[in-house]
Amino acid sequence: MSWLNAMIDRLRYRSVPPPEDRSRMRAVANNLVLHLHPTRVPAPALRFSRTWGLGGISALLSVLLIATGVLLMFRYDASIERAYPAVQAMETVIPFGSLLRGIHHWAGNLLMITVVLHMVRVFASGGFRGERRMNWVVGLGMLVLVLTFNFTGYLLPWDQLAFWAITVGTGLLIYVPLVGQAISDFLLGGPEVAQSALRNFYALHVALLPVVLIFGLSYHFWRVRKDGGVTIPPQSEQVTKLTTIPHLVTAELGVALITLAGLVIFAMAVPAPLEALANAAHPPNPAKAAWYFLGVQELLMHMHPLAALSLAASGLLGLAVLPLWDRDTSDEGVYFRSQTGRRAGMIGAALAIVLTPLLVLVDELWLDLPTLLAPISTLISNGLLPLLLTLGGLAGIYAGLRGALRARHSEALVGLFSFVMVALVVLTAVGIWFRGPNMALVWPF
Amino acid sequence: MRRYLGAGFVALLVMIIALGVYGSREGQRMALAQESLRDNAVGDAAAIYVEYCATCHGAAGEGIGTTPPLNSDGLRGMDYDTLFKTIARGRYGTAMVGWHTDEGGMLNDYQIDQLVAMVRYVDWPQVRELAAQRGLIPATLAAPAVGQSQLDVIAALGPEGSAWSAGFTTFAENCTVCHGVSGDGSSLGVPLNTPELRAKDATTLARTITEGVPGTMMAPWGKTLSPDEIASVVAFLQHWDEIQAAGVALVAPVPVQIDLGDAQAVLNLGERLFTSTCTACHGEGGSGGIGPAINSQQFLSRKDDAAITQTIIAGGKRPGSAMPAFGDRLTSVEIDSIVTYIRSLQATAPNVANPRGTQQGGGGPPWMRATATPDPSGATDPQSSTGTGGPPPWASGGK
Repeated sequence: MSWLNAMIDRLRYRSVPPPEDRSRMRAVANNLVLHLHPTRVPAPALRFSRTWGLGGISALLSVLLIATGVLLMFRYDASIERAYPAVQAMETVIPFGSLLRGIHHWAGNLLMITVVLHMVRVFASGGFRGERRMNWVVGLGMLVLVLTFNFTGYLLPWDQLAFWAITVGTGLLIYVPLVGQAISDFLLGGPEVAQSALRNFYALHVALLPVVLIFGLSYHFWRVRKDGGVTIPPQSEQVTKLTTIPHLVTAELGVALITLAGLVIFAMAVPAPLEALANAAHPPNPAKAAWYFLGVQELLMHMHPLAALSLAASGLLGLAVLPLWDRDTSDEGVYFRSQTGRRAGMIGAALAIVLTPLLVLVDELWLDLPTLLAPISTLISNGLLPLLLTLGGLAGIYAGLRGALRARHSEALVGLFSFVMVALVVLTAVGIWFRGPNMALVWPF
Repeated sequence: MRRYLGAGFVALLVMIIALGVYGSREGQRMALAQESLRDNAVGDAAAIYVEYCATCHGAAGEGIGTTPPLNSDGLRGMDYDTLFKTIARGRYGTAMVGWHTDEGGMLNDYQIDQLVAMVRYVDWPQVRELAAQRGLIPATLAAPAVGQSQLDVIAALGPEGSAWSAGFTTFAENCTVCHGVSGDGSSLGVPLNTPELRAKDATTLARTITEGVPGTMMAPWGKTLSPDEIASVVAFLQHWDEIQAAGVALVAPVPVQIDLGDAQAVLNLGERLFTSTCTACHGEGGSGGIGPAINSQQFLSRKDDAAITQTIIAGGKRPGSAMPAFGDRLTSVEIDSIVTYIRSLQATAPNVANPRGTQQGGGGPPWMRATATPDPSGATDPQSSTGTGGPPPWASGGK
C-alpha cells in the first residue's frame, strides 16, 4: 500500500519528499482556520471515542446552515402575505430550492441533536472542570442559542405547523413571572403571532443570532485550545504528540465529508415538511410545539406552567453551576469517572426509563391532585407540590446512589445527570408519539 | 487516520453521483410539484367559490341572471393581473364587489390567487365535486326554496294571486342575493319590503327593473327577464305586506360545511338529501310509491351499495324506468351519503307486501304500467321534483 500513500502524498504536496513536521506545524500556525488547532495533538486525544466527532459535526452543520440559509434568503420574503408563496415557489419553480430547504431544515434539526450529545459527551468525560469551566458555560450558552435559532426559524415558512408551534411556544413564555409578558410582547411585537412576529423572528434568525453564533463559536474553539484541548485520561507513560497535519485534519475532513454526504442524501429522500397556509381560525388538534420543546410541553400536562418552567430552569441552572458543584478533577478524562460512576449512570438511566412513563400514566389516569386537595389553591396542589416532589425525587436518587453504591459526589452526579437526560428524552418521546387529539394519551402503533 | 479520509472520499463520490441523479430529475420533480400544488389550489378555491361566489355565478360557473358566466375560454385566457384585480377590487357599476380584505371583503391574497388559478384551470362541472370533497356541501345554493304550498297560499290571496305567486318565485330566484330574503336589503341592494316602495306605481318599478339603476349594482334585468316576469315581480313587490301577513316567507339558503369524517353528520346529510330528492318517487322514508320501496328487506337485501350507487348515478336500467340519472346533479360525496342513509335503514326495514313501485310493473293499474316514459313532473309533486325543467339544477338540491 505504500505506493498508494506515495500517490496520495504526491497529490497533496507539489513536491516529494513530504514536508518535514516543522513545516507542517508552520502551515497550521499560519493558517487562519487551522490556527484554531494547536500545531501538535497528543496521540490519545485523536482517538475517535474521545469526541465522537460531535463538536466538529456541530461546527460543520453550523457552517452548512449559514451557507444554505444565505441562499434561501435570496428567495424568501418575511411578510405574511408572501412568505408562504415564497416557500411554495422554492418547492415548485426554483431549481434545487426544495433540496436546499431540505438540507437547511434537517441540518437545523440534526444540530439540535448533536449539540446535546456533545454536551453529554463533555459531561461524561469530565471536561467541564478546572480551566475548562468557563468554556462549559459558553457551550451551554451556545446550546440555548441553537434552541433559539431553531425556534425562530420554525416560524418562517408560515404554514400551519409553524404558526401553531410558535403560538404554543410563546404562550408558555407568559407564565414566566414578572418578565414573561414583556418578553412575549417584545418577540411578537404585539399580542399574537402576526406580521410583526414574523418580521422579528426573521431579523433574529438571519441577523442577530448568526452574529452571536459566529463570535460565540470562535470563542468556544479558541477556549478549547487554550484550555488544553480534548480531555484525556491520566497516562502512565510519556504522551507522544502528533502533528495536526495530517493526523487531525484528515480525520476531521473524513468525518465532515461523511456527515455532509449523509445529510444531503437524506434531504434528497425526505423533503422538508410544508403544511397548509397558516390559519389563525383553524387550530390543528393536537397543537404541539416544536419537537425539542415537547419535553417541557409534556411536563405542562402534569403540573402548573410555573412549576414546569421552574423545573426546566432549575435543570438549566444545575448545568450552568455544574463546574462549581463538582470540582473534583482527579478523574479527568475518564468516561463516567470510574466503574462506580458508570454503574451510577446506568442505574439513573434505568430508573428514568421505568419511572418517567409510570409517573406519566399515574398522573394522567389516576392521580388528580387538584381535586384531591380541593381546598388548596391549584398553584400549590398542582404547582408547588409536584415541583417539590420531583426535586425531592431527584435528591432521593442522589442520596440513594451515595449511600447504596458508596459513590463519591461526582459519581453520584453522573447518576443524577443520566436520570435527568433520559427522563427528558422519554418525556419528549411521549410528547412526540404518544399524544393524540386533545393531547390525550394514545398508542401510536 | 487515513481510513477516515478514504471513507470521506467514498462518501463524497456517492454524494456527487446522488446529486447528479437528483439534478437530472429536478425538472420532472418541479413539474410534478407544480401540478399537485395547482390541484390543491383549485380544490381550495372550489370550496371558497361555493361559499362566496356560486350564489351569483352559479354552481358550475354558468352565470345566474345578469351575472356573467365564468366558464368561458375567454376568461381562461385572461391574464393573471386582470383576473386578480377584478376579484380583489370588484368592477365598478356592477354587482361584483371587491373581495380582498383591503376592500372590505373576506379573502386574502393567497385565496384570490387560488381563485384565479381555478378560473384558469378548473374543469367547471368538477367545482361542486371538489368543494364537496372538502366537506362543503352545496346542498342548497343561491335561490331560497319555494314550496308549492306557499305558492298555493299566495294564489289564494286574491284574484291576481297567481301573478303574485309567479313574481314570488322569480324574486326568490333572482333578487334575494342582493335584496335579501325578507326584503330588508343588504350591503348590495336597497330594502324592497317597505311602504315607500309599495307606494310607487307599477310603471316606475317595472322601468327600474328593466333598465337598472346606473351607478349602482342594480343591473338592467330586461335582458334576462321577460316583460311578463318583470310585471309579476312588480305585482309581488306591491303586495309583499299582504303575502307576509299570510305567513309566507323565504328562508335564506346556506352552504353547509360538514365534517366528512363524522359518520353521524354524513348520515344526517344523506337523510336530508334523501328526503328532498328521493321521497317524491320512493315515498316518505322510502316507503315506496312510483319507485320501489327502498325501506324494505326485499330491496335492501338484494342490492349492495355499489348497485345502489350505480343506479343513482346512471338512472334506472330497466327499459321505461322513471328513475332519472343523478350523476351530474349530485356530487360523489352526496351520493355516498344517500347510500349510507339507505343502508342505515336495513336494520329496521320491514317486509313490504308490494316492494316494487308502480313503475316497475309490479303493482298499480295496468294503464300505469303501460306508460313507457312517464312524465315525472306530472306524476310527482312538483314541490320536491328533482330539477325536472324550470330552475337550474343547483336550485333543486334541497328544500
